[in-house]
Amino acid sequence: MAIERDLTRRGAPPAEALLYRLDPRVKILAVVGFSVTTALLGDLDAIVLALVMATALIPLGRIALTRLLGRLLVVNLFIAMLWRCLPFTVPGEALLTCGPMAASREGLALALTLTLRSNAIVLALMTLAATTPVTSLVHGLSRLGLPDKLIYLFFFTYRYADEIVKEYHRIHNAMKIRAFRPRTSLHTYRSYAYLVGMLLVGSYERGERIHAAMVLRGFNGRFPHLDALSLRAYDAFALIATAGVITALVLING
Amino acid sequence: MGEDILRLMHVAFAYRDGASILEGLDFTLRRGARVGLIGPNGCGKTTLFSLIMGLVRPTTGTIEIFGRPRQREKDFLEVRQRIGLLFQDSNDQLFSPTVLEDVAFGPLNLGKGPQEARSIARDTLRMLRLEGFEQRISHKLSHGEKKLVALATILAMQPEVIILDEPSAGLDTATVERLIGILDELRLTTIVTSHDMDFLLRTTDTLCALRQGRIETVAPDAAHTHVHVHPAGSLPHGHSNI
Repeated sequence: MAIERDLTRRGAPPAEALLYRLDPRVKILAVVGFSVTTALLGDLDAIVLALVMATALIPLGRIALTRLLGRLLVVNLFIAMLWRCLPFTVPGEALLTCGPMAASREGLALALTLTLRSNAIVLALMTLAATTPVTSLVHGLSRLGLPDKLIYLFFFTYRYADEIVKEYHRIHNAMKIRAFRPRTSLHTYRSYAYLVGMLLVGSYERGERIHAAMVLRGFNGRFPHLDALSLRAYDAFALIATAGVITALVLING
Repeated sequence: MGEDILRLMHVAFAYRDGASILEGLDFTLRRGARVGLIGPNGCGKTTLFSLIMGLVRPTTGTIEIFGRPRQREKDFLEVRQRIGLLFQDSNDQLFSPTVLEDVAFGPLNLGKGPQEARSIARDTLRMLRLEGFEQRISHKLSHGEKKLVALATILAMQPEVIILDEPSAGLDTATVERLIGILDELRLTTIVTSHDMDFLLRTTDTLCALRQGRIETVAPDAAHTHVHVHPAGSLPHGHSNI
């Protein structure tokens, strides 16, 4: 199951999508390489090309467009704040004035390049998340030499974030069926404090039980991998294509 | 039998991923009825209770409780005051640090003052013979103790109807007997699910089965004999008639 389950189109067997079949190591390297390069681009043409390339991943990953746009909207809400301050704070040639404030050409250009760059990077990262099952990602990261502890931290956070949300809903339901209605009162604050407290206690105890269960099944600090990774022809092709895109971006950037 | 407390008409429920749990379900509960509900794991019993309490909404169909249609969150506030649901897992039900606070939580929500809520909680605990549990830490109780305290938390709200989701699962015989005694004394309108037929026979008057998303009444079983195992069965013992 991909990390970003909601992003894969319903009904479309994701396993058939080209990006789904790629070796996770290739995908991680490609996305990291692409993101770092894009983040360092300064030339507008190069940045536009990066965004076009990232957009091209959407059909390849069979990503649900409406949900993707929803996620992008959240990212761009943050960026919208930059649009409100950057043009007025970056010094340069004044393009339009409103009252005592003047928007500079340089500031607008910076806001524009930031927007395009962020969108390109977020698109690439979301494609990775939507087309890679969490186990493959863990597997890939481990083969790429990332420290085990970091990987476990990532894996367990991912795995249990969902459980903690479920636990929250269970306790919240328990409160609701006993006629709880949030108000501005000490009783309400106390009840929510109990909810958070029980969430912490519950998670801690559950963590201990899971650890015990893992130790009982012979866990010694390393996750064995079920499937062996092997690079295939299309993995090599994807790596070469990514290297080509990165080179082109660097060359255009000048 | 009294008036209809609960009427579910053509109720269907499906999860967002499309998995259908209940389909065209009709069910009526009259005041005073004590209904046992049987069905395999995953047949939708817990979902049915969540629908009645308004924790989830049906995909289609109507739910009428206490003579009024219930559709929105607001409609269910009254339902939750008058119907008590005992969760299958007591860990999901108890969330306050101490037993007394947990039992007083419902009465406080019903607008009782702290003093009154405290005394209701004490009375309820006494009724269930749980005196001395007031300051115990909820999540450190044993499974059986948790079940009884969870029952106390809903009885403290003086419900007209109680719904018990597999109350006897995992309890020892003594605690089950205690539970049966309590239910017998209360004589409230009840829905109980269980996989333990003996428990259902002793706590309910009618049996229904949830099969393929619908509820059907089960004809009373014909008398028959069968072999069974019970604790210390090699010792001399008698059998009472139920």
